[in-house]
Parts: sequence; structure tokens; C-alpha cells
Amino acid sequence: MTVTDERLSIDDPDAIVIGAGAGGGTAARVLTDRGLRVVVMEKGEATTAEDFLPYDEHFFHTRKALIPHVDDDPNMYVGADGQARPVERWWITNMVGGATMIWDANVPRYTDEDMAVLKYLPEVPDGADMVDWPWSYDEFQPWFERAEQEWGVSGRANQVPSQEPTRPGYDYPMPPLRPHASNGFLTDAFGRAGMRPYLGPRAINSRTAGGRPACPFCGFNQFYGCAVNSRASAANTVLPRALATGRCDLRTGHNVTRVVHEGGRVTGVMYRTEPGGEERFLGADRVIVSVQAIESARLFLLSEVPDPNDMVGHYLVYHTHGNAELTFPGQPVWDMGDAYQPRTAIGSLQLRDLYVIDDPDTHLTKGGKFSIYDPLTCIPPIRLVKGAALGPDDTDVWGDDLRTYLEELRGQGGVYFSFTGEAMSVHDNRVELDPEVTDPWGLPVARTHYRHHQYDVDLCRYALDRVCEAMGDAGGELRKYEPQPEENAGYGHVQGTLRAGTDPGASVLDAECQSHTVAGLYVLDCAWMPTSGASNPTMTLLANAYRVCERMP
Amino acid sequence: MRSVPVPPGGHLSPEARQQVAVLFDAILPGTATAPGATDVGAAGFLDVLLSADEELFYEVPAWRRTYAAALPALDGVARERFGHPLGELPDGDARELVAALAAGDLPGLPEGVDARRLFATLRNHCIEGCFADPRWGGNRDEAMWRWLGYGRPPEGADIATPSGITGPAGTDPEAEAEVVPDGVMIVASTTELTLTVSEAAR
Repeated sequence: MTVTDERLSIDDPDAIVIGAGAGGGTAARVLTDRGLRVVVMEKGEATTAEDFLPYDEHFFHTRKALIPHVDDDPNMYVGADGQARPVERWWITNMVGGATMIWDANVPRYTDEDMAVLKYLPEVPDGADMVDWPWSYDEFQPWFERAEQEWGVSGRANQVPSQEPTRPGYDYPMPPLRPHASNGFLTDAFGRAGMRPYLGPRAINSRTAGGRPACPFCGFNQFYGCAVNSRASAANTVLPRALATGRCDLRTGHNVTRVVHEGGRVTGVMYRTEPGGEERFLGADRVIVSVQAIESARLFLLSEVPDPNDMVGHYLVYHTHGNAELTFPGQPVWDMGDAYQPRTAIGSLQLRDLYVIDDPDTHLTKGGKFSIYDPLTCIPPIRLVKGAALGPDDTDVWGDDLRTYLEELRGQGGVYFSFTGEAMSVHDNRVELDPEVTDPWGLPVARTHYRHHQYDVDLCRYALDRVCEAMGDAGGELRKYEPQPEENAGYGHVQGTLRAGTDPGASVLDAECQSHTVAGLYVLDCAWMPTSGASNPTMTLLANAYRVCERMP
Repeated sequence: MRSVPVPPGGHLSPEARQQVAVLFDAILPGTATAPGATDVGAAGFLDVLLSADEELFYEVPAWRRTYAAALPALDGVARERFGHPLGELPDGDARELVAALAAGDLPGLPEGVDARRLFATLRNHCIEGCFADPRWGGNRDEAMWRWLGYGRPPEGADIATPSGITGPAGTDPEAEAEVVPDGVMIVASTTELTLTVSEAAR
């Protein structure tokens, strides 16, 4: 299922949606369903599944075919040395579907621990500015359910007590993806440490559903387009529904340069269809921005949205993130079975037992969760082998050491952990307009300033150490250990920058994700999130998009 | 199609290609049972990569300058320190040369060529040349994929189904395979999957 080229032209829309990704696609879906006429402005072009063949790690990932290039369209990052330098934007995907075209569709929900965060962080560390969200998890539950049904999530409720709670009688629309061969061993090992992993929800078909096939486990997931459409994206779920109403005008190659507003009301957008081209106006009294948190803050700054509290762009927050990899001497390499066995990350486990930390030996209370993978099948081999290490301080190995690593990889079972944790919101962590560097359209690029709070750094190490200890007790030997450093030049999970809240003196957006200062201007990417939360954010982004758009006046 | 035709290659002279092959083989040597960089023609990958248009890969001009400056300099070091040209350097000497690069301890490199950064570039390109799709000029006959077990079981490896697996670790005999019109094999399971974790308390 792909987006068609045929489109009607709407010149006086009821709403303009900027960005055809997760948030924008969902907004178009809901608003057109409600009878509104919507124009979606997408900077990139439409793709079809065939555009992502042949599977080719060198082209798509190593040489970054699907993201903007750092040489002419970067973000600028100010590091510890105070110097701004250009950095990659791995999760900016300018095409219909946005980053959902290359995500790995790991779709946990944010829960009470994330939204009522102060309950789980009774002592907010110095320098952090943490706030409760203006909504409860219970309030969000119906919207999570709607998103999981419409996007086609595989999973199973009530496997373990620590997983995201669901309402009685609820379950995901299809069963979980096939478990990875290591899951039994790992579940036993964690069980001895008092922890219980579970099969996490994925927006990937485990069965033929929604006109899309079940996942054939090709092995190319994160950073690759899905060539069979078994992985959900905005382009194969919500946007086709929006287009089918006849009330959605999807305009590709349309780059919105600023939001136009007058007297505290939005009036439309200015846009260009090519660099250097004529700047044109399209009017509407609802404008919905969903172009990723850094870019949304940039658009607010470019549009000079009134900012009486010095908050636009502030409280940019990346999850604290780290990895660890262990190998199990004597444990045969996980049997990949025949062609139907998962050969990639997606059939693997999640661990939420450290979402809240109850340990007298640490000051840490609000934690995070792990995605658990098989190192051999987690990612394609170029990226995997470049990261080869024989210990925390023995990285970038080569020669005989690289041979040793490869022999272990193919001969022994292993495990790879990816930790996603709560990060402290800090006012100085922010997005600005770069004073010097412009994008190909002549607009200032985003410049970020970011230092992780010490809490984030401590949390990541604590969590990695806990799972490494459990795996060590099961015979594992540590190979990779990559905790969160203080610097962060950019990361896929990006939240904050346009914080939502009920107090106009302490937030940019109201509780309906509408600007406090420009009525009719809404934000649906993760910029509205008041704090980081501690899970992959897109499911919560989606649920919120349904919530906001169903209630939008 | 977003993918592109592979560049023609032919950027490196035969001498330069041989020099690269020596360095790559030190970074990923083969054994009696496992292919190394030379066995899979990893230097051929670099030859193709450096022939790519700047419009395709923006890093290419910088890499061309790096190799053009570094290879003659390393050849000079090899002749001076080991008494052999780089392209004929014995394995042990090549290892010593790469170790010096990795340690950032190699006097005599030209202005603008940093030893550690050069090592990182060589290592990255060696690994790409070994593990990239063969259409890019390395990984001949998918030999590295076959040895590692990428996309298939590793050749000759001892594979056993680990203990503790209670779920459908391998085949699901109830699974119905069907071929969709474009030839992509898909699987629709008609059975309920068995979870490997126990039921929750709640």
C-alpha cells in the first residue's frame, strides 16, 4: 500500500499539517475523518516499498542515503569545547512517512511513571527542572488503544507485572513477533536475578493484517525502508486513510519556511517548492507542526512565535542511552533455525524491571528500560563489526583481536543491551538558530547546546551494571560497554523544546498542545513532551496526536 | 529506485591497490579456516568507493586526498623501517606498521594526515570492504557473510538449539508460507505463538 500520486487540490483548507510523518499523518487521518479539509505540506518526496531495494547496508546505512547530509544540511552542536560543529541527523527522514520509514517500530507506551514523574523522583536533583505532565496515564489509555489498533501493533498484554499496564480485557491487535532463540536462556538468567523480560510491542505485522504481509524477518530494520510494508509507517497506515476521504491534499516537495500569525492567531504558512524559489502563502486557521522536536523549535524561532518566558527551544532532552554486549563462552550460538526464525532485533525481549529503582544503595529512583538483542542479528554486519570490542577499554579492535571477536560472534551465544532512561530536563539544554550556517533553502540551521545532567550519566551506568551483573552470573563476559557520556551531539529520541503545560507562565503549549501565544498553532511531534519519559517515544506521540486531533475545535 | 548503480572502480593504481591490500589484511587477516580481507578482495571495494562521484558520496574527495597523501608516506616508512616496499611488506611488519598507526605513533606522515584518524579510516574501509554487499566490489562471493553466518547459519559452525527454549524457536510447522505476486516470501502463522515467558501474575 503506498501513497498515490493523484491528489485533489485544496486551496482553502480547514487545517494545514506540516510534516507527513507520525504526528502529521495521524493528524491528517483524524481531521479528515472528522470532515475537515486538510493540506499536508511535506518537504520530501513520496516513496514506494521498491525504493528500498536492494537491501544494501553500505548504501542505505553506511553512506546515509535516507537522511540529510552533514556537509550541506547539518545540525550544529556546541560541545564541551564551546565550538559549534556540524553533526549528523540520523532520525531526520525527509519523505512521506518521515522517520517511521526507517524506525524499528519499537512502540512501548509511556506510563504513569513517565507522566506523574515527580512521584517517582521525589528528590529532583539540583539543576534539573522536572514537572508532572498535565495528563494521567488513565486519560491516555483509550488513545494508546486507538493508536495500537490503527497502526497495527503486535504484542501481548499481561506477560509480566512490569510491562505497560492495559485496561482489563484489552490486548494488542495481533500476537507478538516470533521470539528470538536466545529468549529462553535470557529469561532464565534474568529470572535468577529477580527480573522478568517480556516480548515488547512492535508496529510490525506478525500476521497478515491491514492489507500488509507478516514480517518475513529479512534482517534489515532500523535505518532501512521496509520493502514489504510489514512494518507500519505513516505512509502505509494513516495517510492512505486520510487520502481515501477525498479531503486530504498531500503536497510533497513543499518546505514550510515559517508559520504566519497576526494578533495572537495563526493565519497560515509561507512555503517554497524549491530552494531559491518564490515564497508563497497558504492560509488556514489551524496549523499543526510535526517535523521532529528540534526542527519544530527551529520553525517556532524562524516564525517569531512570541516567547514571553524564554522557553522556546529550551528543555531539549535526549534519553540517557547506553549499550552493553556480552558473550557466553560455552554457549552455542543461538540457533537461527530456518528462514522463518527472526534474524533481527524485532523478536527480542524488553526489560522494564528497572523502570522504577528501589535500591537503598543508590540515590537513583526513576530509571528506564532495556531492549535486548542478539549481537549477531541485531544490526547488519558493517555496523556490527565496526563496533567490535573485547572489553570496555579494548575498543576498535583489529588484527588478531578482531578475529577473536568475530569467532566469538559466530560461535557463541551473546546478548546486546540498549538502555533508554529518564533524562533530567535542564533549561540550558536548548535549540537556537545558528548564526552562520544555513540549509540548502537558505534558512538558518538548528544549533543545539546539550550536556547531560549527572543523574542521567549515573543512571545509565547503574542500569547497565545491573544487567551486566545478572548476565555475568549466567556466565557472560563483557565485550562492549558504552554508557552515556555528558556530551550528546544528537540522538533519535528527542523530546521537549516546546514544553506543554497548564501554566502559561511555565510552558510554551497548553494542555491541548496549542501555543499559548498563537491560537490555532499546534505541535504534535515530541516537542510538547514536558519531560523525557523513559521509553521509545513514538507510541506516546501517536496517542497524543489522536487525543489532540479528536478534540481540536 | 533510490538505490544507485555502483561506480566503475579504477581509481587506484595497481600499486596503490596492492598497498591497500597489505594494510587491510593486517586489519582483518584470514586464517586456515576463515577468510580475511585479501581473500574477499576488500581492496577492490576501496577502488570502487574512491571512484564514486562526489554527488553520490560527499566524503569521497577527502578520502582521495587522504589515500593519495598517506600511501606514498607509508611506503616510505615501510622501506625505511622494514626494508620492503609497502606492497610487499611481510605480515608481521604490516602488523607493526598498523599498530603504530593505531597508537598514533608514526613519525614521518605528511602534513594533514593524522595517524589515528588514518587508522580509523583504514579500519572502516576494510570492514566495509569485507562485509558490504558484493556489488560494491568487496566481499567476493559473499564469502564473509557465509563465514559469519549473516543471513544464514555460519559455515561449519557448531550450532545447537540452546537449552531453555520453550517457544517455537525454529520452524513452526503450522506456518503457511505463501508467495505474493512480486515474489516476496511471506509467512502467515495460523497458530497462537507460545510465549517463552511465564504468564503474568496480574
